[in-house]
Amino acid sequence: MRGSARRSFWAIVPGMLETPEQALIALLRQRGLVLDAERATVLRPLAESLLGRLARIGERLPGDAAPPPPGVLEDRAP
Amino acid sequence: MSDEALCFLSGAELGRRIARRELSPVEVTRTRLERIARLDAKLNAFVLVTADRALAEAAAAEREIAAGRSRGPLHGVPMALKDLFDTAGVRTTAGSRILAHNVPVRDAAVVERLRAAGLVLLGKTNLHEFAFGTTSDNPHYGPCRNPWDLERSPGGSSGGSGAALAAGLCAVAPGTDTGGSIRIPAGACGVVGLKPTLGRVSRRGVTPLAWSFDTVGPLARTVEDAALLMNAIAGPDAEDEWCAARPAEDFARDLERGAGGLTLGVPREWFFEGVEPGIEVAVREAIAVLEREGARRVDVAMPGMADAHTAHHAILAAEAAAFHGPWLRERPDDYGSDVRRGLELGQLIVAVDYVNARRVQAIVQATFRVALAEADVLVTPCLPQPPSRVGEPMSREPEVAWNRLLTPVNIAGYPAISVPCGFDGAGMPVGLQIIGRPFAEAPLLRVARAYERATEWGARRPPV
Repeated sequence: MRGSARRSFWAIVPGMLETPEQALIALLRQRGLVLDAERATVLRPLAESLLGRLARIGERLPGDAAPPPPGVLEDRAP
Repeated sequence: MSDEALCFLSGAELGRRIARRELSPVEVTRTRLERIARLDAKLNAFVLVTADRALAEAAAAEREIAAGRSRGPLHGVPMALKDLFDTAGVRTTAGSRILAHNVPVRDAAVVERLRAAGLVLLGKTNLHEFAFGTTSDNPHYGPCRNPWDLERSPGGSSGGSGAALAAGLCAVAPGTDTGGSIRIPAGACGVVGLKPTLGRVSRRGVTPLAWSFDTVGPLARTVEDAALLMNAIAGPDAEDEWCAARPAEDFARDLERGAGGLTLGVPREWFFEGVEPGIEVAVREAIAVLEREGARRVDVAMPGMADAHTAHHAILAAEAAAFHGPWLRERPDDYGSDVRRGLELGQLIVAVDYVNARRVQAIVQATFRVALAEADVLVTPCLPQPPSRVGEPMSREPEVAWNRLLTPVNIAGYPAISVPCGFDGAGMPVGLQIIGRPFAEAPLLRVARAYERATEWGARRPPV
């Protein structure tokens, strides 16, 4: 993961920056989930990839891009 | 007619012969049950076969038809149901250990409608655990295998349905599609799979994966069967607030109108990038066939599809993690490793990323709207690569994910169909994906039928 995306993700857990795997374990523990070190090692690259891509998307989304309005698809003009 | 030939008649043809009393629903059902008993040990397409119940339903259909009380064109036709649909009094596992002993008290809305249309339930089909994956390598009920090559996956998550259809074990098989789960097995097994518009078909009684995308639709051996299944299952449902109020329609009405006068949009970006050469050749030839049938071709811009795949993954994983949260906390070891990992990943998605993924969704919908203002339908490959080997892990990275040509359609909420269009260099089926405007399933089926009529790919049988 690069730049601000990496910092913003791993910095979520204060004091748990020793390794990203420890941060993952702590994050999931906050949600009541148990993640062992072995599975954290497997999860880490997947998390870095998805969360990194989402962070980069967030950085370049145009300011006027809003979520879809409520209502069914057919009501929207082409 | 041999038993083998009987098992490869389409659902519509079976229905016609049953209505004319040339075939008995009991005879048809018994033949399929015998074929399941002979072949399913190789395929593992079914997690449960309801033989006694199927024969009783077939006998009831036979009595009704003899008394002149036809329930429609699929009355007495044998179907298989993905084990994600609630079936009253019949175990419904969602392919999981967590629901291994779940016996619903009520049918899913779709099942109610299929029973009202007189279809006969043969059993429940194997799937990727909780429909959260693309292979149907199920850790609890065993991997499902592709009839075209038993070492390969039939795709997923509705893999058992695709395998059962391709092998002639059932006539029709409704499935669900959240990130390609109808179209993947359709493409991988050489059958027809239609993902309707989000909201076209009720989802009541279907175990959720991601509310924003979950869609019920038909898997079948022919386009006509898919249209007839849509006639049976589509329409409003007051008990499902996600189900559109738009009334049901006759999806078979335009099937034989041909492709003349229609415009095919061929995306310039994404949908042909990184596609295995044998698949690209088959799809480009399919487009040429449709042009010879009278369709006009235009190239259309489809930017932003990598972001569409990523945003789809984020929304799906987050919503699945929300649904599964209690079970994941209380029974984590009861999940298979890949699904558990996907749910843990979903727990890591923060609200800002979820909202940004929603913003991407609006952009993707606008992209599809513009492209489908220039063309009546879009045509693309269904799958970029042949099916993986059974047990091989699958990546969700946008550049290589097996469903990366399908997820943009899910995040847009638009309808799409996969129809067989040949075989690749490995001898595996290739699917042509046709994408349409919201609630315009009938034109999709029309194009798919025009292609099917002009070719014979769907009539081939696997070597199993």
